[in-house]
Amino acid sequence: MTKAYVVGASMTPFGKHRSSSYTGLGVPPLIAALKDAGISREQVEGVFCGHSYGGMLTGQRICKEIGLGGIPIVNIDNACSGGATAIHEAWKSVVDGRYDVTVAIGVEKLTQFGGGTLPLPSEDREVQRGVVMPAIYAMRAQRYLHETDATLEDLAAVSVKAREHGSRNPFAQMRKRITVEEVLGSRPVADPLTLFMCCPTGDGAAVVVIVSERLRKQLGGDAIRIAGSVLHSGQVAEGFRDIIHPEISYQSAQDAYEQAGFGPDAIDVIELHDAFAIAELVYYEALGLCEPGHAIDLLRSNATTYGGRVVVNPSGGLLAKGHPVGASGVAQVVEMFWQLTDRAGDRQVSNARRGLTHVTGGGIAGLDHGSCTVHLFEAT
Amino acid sequence: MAGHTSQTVHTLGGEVVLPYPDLDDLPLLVIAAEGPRLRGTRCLDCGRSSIGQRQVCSYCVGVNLEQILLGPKGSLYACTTVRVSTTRETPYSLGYVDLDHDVRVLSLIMGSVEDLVADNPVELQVDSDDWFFSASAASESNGRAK
Repeated sequence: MTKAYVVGASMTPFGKHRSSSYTGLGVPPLIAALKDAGISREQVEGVFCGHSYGGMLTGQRICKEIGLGGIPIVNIDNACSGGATAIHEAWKSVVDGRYDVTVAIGVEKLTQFGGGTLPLPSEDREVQRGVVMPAIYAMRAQRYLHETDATLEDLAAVSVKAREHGSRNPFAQMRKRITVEEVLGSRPVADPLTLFMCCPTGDGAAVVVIVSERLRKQLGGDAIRIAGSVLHSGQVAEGFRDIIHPEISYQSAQDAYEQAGFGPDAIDVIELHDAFAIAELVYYEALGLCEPGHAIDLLRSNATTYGGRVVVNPSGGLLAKGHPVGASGVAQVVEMFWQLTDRAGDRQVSNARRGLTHVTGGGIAGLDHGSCTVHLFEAT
Repeated sequence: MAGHTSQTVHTLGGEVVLPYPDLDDLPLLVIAAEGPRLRGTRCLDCGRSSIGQRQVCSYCVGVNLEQILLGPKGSLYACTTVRVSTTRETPYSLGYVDLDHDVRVLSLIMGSVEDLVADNPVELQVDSDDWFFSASAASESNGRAK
């Protein structure tokens, strides 16, 4: 089995790009990522495009603009994990020896909905009862506050950290620093979550180029190795389910660590799925950064910011960088590429050698989440 | 048998598998002689239960199913008051209610802020056009003291 490497990456800043279509969002980072990798369009053998609301043939609508065609272009919806699923499929096609050069695109335009919560499938029975994504995480937050010593101030502190990190990231949608008081005083969205504990809606696209060992040697430029790539789906539970210990993220992380041969103690930098402030605490535990029940201690000890043991969400995460659904999983890997090749500028995590990205997708009845993707990376 | 009757027609070319008419499922709310209940489905093969009318058991893929009635009593596992939504007029409160037979249902929750506490006992209620759960009478004195 050959190894797979990320050798080029690019993204648009996330934000409200009202004058840009899916094509307008996707083409510039596609051109830039190919250029970054030193790959011509003729060398690309397969494209995987993650999106949820782009409509038919989104990947082809982007690729045709640069005359990229005649090869398989696969469109992938896996809710918030769509982009990361595209990366997983690109990785798999390389390590299986099917392609030497693949491209993963993540793209989404949420401003098309005019704001508010994400549209969810109306066929789902819980959606019919009124569930929206903030409500799912709000219930998780309520339960977390009920079962642990965590406080509202702890939830707010997650947002404060995200904004602090995002303030150094020119690609972040929310770059203004905020205080705990401002977070708690912002508009309530779904109790106990306030507006600043929720990721903003916006638009954006991210692209990475993934190649085989053979191509990496030929190219000779910057590269990071994909040490693990895991995609899981949720397992149904019609009855009791522990929503603050979501099994899908625990199992995905465990499988990824086994695949890579290193664990959470060896990781310097993480981009995790902080769609809502509570998620970061839940996922510290799921990713094994601390024992279950001890996320608060980890956060309060400043172990997850600059100067700490592992910097979590140096990009600002979904809370500050933004969360154009299908784009996020790829954008996390773009950040990882920059971090592990020492190109992250003002937000560079010093001596970052190993990184993890994690993204979960969707809320449907009976599952923790519909999909979860964990990737592990190593500098070369 | 709670599920629809699945019809399988055998032809020369193979089995014709018809779709479930699940959009015609019976409503969750059942007004029984003893009061309001929620419709559930129990699998006679594995014994596990699910909310609503089902055509197949998601635990064991069994199709030997029976209808059961769930509630009216439950325990509020977690809840929230939603203030921004694309699906309903806000605000409204939602919660996961754990019922007997290890069945969880997402429900509207009515009541004061003090009632919207995890692990509070709740009871199924009905008004003119909808069903919901609210703090059960027994919890008026017990539940809030927790």
